[in-house]
Amino acid sequence: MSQTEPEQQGQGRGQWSRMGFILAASGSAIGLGNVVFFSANAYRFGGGAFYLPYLLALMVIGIPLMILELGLGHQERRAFPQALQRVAGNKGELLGWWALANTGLIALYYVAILGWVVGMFFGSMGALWESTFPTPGFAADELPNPYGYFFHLLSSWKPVLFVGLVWLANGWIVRRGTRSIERAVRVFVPLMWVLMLVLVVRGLTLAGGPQGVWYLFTPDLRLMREVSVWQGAFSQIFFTLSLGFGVMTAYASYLPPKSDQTNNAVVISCLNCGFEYIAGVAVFAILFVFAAVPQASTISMMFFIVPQGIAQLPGGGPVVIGFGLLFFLLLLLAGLSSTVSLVESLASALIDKFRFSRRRVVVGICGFGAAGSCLFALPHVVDPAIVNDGTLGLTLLDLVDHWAFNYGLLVVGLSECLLIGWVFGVDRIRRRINSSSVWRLGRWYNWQIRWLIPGAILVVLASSAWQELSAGLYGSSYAANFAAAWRWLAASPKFVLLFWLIVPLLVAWLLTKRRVSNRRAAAIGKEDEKGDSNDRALQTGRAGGPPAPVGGSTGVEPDRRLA
Amino acid sequence: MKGIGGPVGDVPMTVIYRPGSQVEGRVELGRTADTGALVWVPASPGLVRVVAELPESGSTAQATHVRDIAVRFAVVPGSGLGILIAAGVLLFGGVAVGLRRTLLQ
Repeated sequence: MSQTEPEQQGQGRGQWSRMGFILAASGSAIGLGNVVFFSANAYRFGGGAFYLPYLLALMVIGIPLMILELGLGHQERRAFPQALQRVAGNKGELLGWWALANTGLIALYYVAILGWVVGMFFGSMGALWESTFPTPGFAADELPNPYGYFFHLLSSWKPVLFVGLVWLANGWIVRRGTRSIERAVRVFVPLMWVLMLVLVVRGLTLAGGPQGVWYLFTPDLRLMREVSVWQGAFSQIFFTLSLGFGVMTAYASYLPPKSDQTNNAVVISCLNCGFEYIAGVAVFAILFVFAAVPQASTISMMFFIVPQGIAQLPGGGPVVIGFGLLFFLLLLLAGLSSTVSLVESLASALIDKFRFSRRRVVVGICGFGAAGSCLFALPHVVDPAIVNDGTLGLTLLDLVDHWAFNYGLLVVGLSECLLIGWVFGVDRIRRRINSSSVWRLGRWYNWQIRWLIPGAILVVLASSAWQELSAGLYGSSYAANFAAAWRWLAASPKFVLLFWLIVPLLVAWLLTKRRVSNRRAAAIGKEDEKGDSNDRALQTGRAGGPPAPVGGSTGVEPDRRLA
Repeated sequence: MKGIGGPVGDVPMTVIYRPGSQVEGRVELGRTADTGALVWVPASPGLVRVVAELPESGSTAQATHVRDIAVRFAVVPGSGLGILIAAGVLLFGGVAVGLRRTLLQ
């Protein structure tokens, strides 16, 4: 990959090749959720009744918000907090750091899940396919596989080791920024598609497999009248496209100056939803052939329901082992290409603001991350009957996921639309995006960012909060099943909520307030001016483009363009 | 049904369409005949849970027996096929057009 002039002159920011960016960004968007959560959600909301609203949500909020996040990163050439700082001042930066703190929390448990995936991968070489597996607290044949093997794995210390390995892999992949990430995704992403296509072919060639496909795509107009179906579809699109993580902005900040963000957003979104399309075909075929009723959760779908289907595949041992290995390898690759983007979004933000060396930042993030992820891999069995989550790690994961994922990402999406739509002025960013795009965004885009998307997110947030209030705090019923020694964990739902409300905000506030030293700030200013003048030189000859941003914001000086 | 043994009459039967989903629908089918038979015509295709409440032997308590089944489409649904094709063309067509443009840049 060629280096940019700013990089050669010491600015230190890498640059994607155009295909490298598409692979990295689609790899980020395509994660565990695409393989299994989409199918779980599609089943939860009625199959075909869900799919049309989902496609509509892609057009109405998915692609426009993707364009906004890519446009922001490309325009400001900074990671999420610094890009928002440039367009909306300190409150923008605060939001950016808060989003990344929330992203960091998600990365911690996401890697813990990947640790379990590694464990299941090893299990699928044999033990996972035996009818039962001895699980602590259960009689020999009481907990059938794959439940037995999974809970045996969770109640051991092995996942802690696997979590360390996954963090090592993340650190290795992001060690050289765009250059090393691009190398990895050039292998991971095509391989993911190939593995998924193998599963699709197998699913469709099973007797009755296409029936599941008809169920996924045949619309049920009666069910489509249910508001919850539309809420589910709009939430799914928001979560599946990696919006609200700050990832797309960070990734787009490494693009060459003359990149078409509308085109990029369409390709990334279509690749992501295209992957869900074929994953849905594969999973629904298996569900129908084996009449397996899924639970609406990623964990259940990936560790129980799909493996149950694989275990019943005709052909016996070698076929089952082969498809089991293939499925868990697919999950591992999809998960790794996503966690790498989460780590990079954090690393680029810290490097942009404080000009730490990449090595120092990556080692710090991975070290802290490994310690944090171990919390979610703790093997202590708190619910001996496994009525709810079973182990301490899984219980914590469930609670943190509920707040950081279901609420955190939506809050970020809503806030960025409000900040850019009402404070910065979406027209400015739209003109900038149009200046290098073949597909021009009309004035309708302003209306979408200012009204439509915030309105849709507010409806989803308000209805979720209403359900929360009427059903009681999430997770508060779990303690009834905890063993006596773990009853004190009854307070954990409140504790996790308070932690999520306070800690990311505190971290964001500290990072926003923190200023770099004057000497370093002066060096950053010089580098930024060099970088921007290089950008202007590279943009020379572009028809109709606005002048390139002048000067850099380092958190030391107020942004001159806002003044 | 697994574990029930021979045919049992006068057993209340229920079907749950789309079990475990947010849009599940429950329909009481009535009771089985003395022969243990009950005729049921599914209202819609999809995953369905059939539930039988049987008295436990030697007790007045009821034991629930369930079986999940996949109800098939009688013919290939035109609307399903249409959306399958339209979504495929939209998503993969979008990828093809966009990638072509990316490569031409």
